[in-house]
Amino acid sequence: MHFEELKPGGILIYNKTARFSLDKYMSEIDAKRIIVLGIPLTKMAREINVKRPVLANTISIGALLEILGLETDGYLRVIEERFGKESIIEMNRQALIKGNNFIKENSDVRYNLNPPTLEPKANIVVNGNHAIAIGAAASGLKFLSQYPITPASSILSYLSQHAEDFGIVVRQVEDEISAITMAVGAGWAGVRAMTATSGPGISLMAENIGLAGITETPVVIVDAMRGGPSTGVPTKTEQSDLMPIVHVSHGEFPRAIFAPRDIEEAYTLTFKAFNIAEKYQIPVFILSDFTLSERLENVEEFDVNLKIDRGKILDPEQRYPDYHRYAFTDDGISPRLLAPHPDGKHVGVGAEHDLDSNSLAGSQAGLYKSRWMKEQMFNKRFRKLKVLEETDMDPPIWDGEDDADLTFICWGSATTAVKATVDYLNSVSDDMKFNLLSFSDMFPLPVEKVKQELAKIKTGVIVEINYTGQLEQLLKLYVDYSPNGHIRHIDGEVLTRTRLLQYLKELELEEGKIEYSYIRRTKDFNKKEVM
Amino acid sequence: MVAATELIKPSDFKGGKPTWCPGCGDYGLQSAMRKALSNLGYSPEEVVIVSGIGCSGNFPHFQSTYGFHSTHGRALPLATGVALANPDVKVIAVGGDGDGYGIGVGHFIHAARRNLDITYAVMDNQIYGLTLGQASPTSQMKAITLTTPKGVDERPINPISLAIGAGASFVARGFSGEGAHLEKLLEAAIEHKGFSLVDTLSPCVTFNRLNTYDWFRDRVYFLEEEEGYDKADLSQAFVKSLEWNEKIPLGIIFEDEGASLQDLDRIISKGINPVKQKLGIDPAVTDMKKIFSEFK
Ligand SMILES: Cc1ncc(C[n+]2csc(CCOP(=O)(O)OP(=O)(O)O)c2C)c(N)n1
Ligand code: SF4
Ligand SMILES: [Mg+2]
Repeated sequence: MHFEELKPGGILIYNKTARFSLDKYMSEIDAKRIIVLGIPLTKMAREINVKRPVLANTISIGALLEILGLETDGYLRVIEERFGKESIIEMNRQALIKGNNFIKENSDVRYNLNPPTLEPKANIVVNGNHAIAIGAAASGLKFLSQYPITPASSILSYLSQHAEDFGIVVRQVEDEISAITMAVGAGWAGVRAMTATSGPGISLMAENIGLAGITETPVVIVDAMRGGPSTGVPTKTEQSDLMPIVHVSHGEFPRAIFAPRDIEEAYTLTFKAFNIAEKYQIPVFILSDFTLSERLENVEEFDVNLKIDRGKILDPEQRYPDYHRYAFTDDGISPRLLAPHPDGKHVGVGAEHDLDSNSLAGSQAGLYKSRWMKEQMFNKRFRKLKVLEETDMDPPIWDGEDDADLTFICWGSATTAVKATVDYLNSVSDDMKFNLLSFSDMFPLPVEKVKQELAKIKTGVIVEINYTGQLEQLLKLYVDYSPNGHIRHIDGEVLTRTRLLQYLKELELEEGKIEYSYIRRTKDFNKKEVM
Repeated sequence: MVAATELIKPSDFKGGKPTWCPGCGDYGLQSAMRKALSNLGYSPEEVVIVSGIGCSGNFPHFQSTYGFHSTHGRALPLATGVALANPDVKVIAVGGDGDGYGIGVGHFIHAARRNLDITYAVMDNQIYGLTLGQASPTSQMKAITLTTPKGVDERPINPISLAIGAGASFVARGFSGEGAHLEKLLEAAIEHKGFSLVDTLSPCVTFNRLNTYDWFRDRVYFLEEEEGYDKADLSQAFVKSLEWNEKIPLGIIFEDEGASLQDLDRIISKGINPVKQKLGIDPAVTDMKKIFSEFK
């Protein structure tokens, strides 16, 4: 199954007891100088316990540990923790040793890994979904409605298991239409509310994301992106929902989009998303993806005392005889007065409306005062977007060498691989400097700040995990920037340094800007370790 | 609820001027609803009336309560979000037959089995009123509508048996031509602890020429007056739910007293009101050491 992935000089380990033949692979095995190692895995498993051929798995791990020059202690501890029953632990212990001894006695193939001896720098191991879930809880999430979907499901399951710990009402509901609409209802009632999904769910949610937009209801929506369109490849990664979400739902309304670059940011940006949602009374999106949502990483414990900003919510103890739900203000943000306050009564409505939320549809449509009001309501809502852009959207950040010859531009989780590539290139290059400019605050783009940063680029290459270049489209549209080249990764696998270096070899840059053989000339570029 | 001295009158619930056609059945639900709420002592700010889209969906604008006029078919999920976020307000969902039994039928079934303590009053006129007279999921076979010039050729949904089958704990039918009866039904529905459906026969005088006030008057009867009918008996209720053409029963068709979602939800059942909670991690509630230790 994985034969194509074997590298020249690699080791092929197979179960000698299984009935299959290597004949048809032999010519390639010779050509790639692959070392073949047959182990009678099933037979050995039966020697331990006739009824448990599954022990072959542990035997093969025992063999691998010996080949890689790793100690068995650590794995033995895992066995003890994972399997509760002493008899099962004992069988697995025997299997591990048996596999280990088989290699010791029968083969001198060794590939010493030299595992790092450093103590891990931080102290929790979480994935992106945990970071989002804990970020939401710490920022005051009180209501989660969600329908399961890969790779967003673990937000629902984690918070279901910790609903009481955090005091969150968590509901698994009948579909994503219900999930978003309940969250809008809860947000309107005044709690911090969230739903999480992946692309297919976003498509179903579209109409009621617009409902949050026109009713100016705070809500946070997580889109853990996966291969699309339609069912796509649910367990593979893509960054292909950026432009769909910039435009999701019919009509026009302000929204904000954040794409965390790593696990720590999945936490801090979720926190920020809730503040922005309430401060500006808009739907806010967190764009994660398969890679970030499911990747485990060792990070420091999150700071749960970040600042909470609920925006303009009026004190329920006071009276407000002149209250208007959609009062016009300089920043476009109208104070909220939550039910059951006697002065706050209004009917939230998906129709265009006046200051008191009276519908301007039906018999009111087209009247002179309705036309004027409709225009003013658009101005009001989009004033919020301008203020948001200028006060709360952070510019992209630099990493790598100053004043580089080549700058990679990227967003969200692709940043990890791009950073590794830049560090590597800088470490091997004699005469060329590399850096990266990465975005997390995607929409609204802080236009002036982004322009300033982009102006510093000598040669820019946009790296993203989609087919049509969605960051590239966004930059063209809002800051009129065009890169000198781009890399678009679409095979579904996690983007890695190795893969990026392969792309680089084939990269065609706009003529005259940079000789692309320049990159090839960098020392060691074609050496095996790179791959 | 307010002190008994401050009597709330039905007219206190008056909001914007209704835009329904004169004679529309929806007026019947409106006046019965106002009376029921004032009889029960609710003041307008304690009530949130949530609707979908349709002539019936305009209902909240004509009342002085809080309200939310959401999207087509989505009244129930929106109402559910409000009710779970703030258990102190009284949430009532309203809508049309197309809204609740057509585009929103999935939510209807799940709201029934979720058994959240909300009341759902459907203004069932067996037609799409707002969009000028197309067939609806409750339009009768052979009914001539804008989209069925030769008569409806799909079988109608039976909202009563559908609700019972889906696990609703209170299922009733009212008629907007029987205001006093409808008022009592709504009171019972609002008082019921759990999901309550009041399917209200609500003639559309403009587009439904078949199911008129007279058509219903010839057929309806009060279930309360039928001797021996036991609304707690599921099998009797199912049989009763099927009665339609010759005789149409009005009243509580099924009721059971099981626990509502508010009694069962792990947060709400503790008496916690989410909207009144402080934001951020409260060390008295959340042990972050324990939370982080799971990831060590
Ligand atoms: C998603 C969506 N599809 C279609 C419509 C158009 N539409 C508005 S009301 C309605 C039907 C209303 O019928 P019903 O729910 O029975 O309400 P009534 O007007 O009869 O009270 C339709 C199809 C819409 N608003 N939204
Ligand atoms: S069209 Fe029918 S349902 Fe709509 S307001 Fe008129 S009578 Fe009522
Ligand atoms: Mg109707």
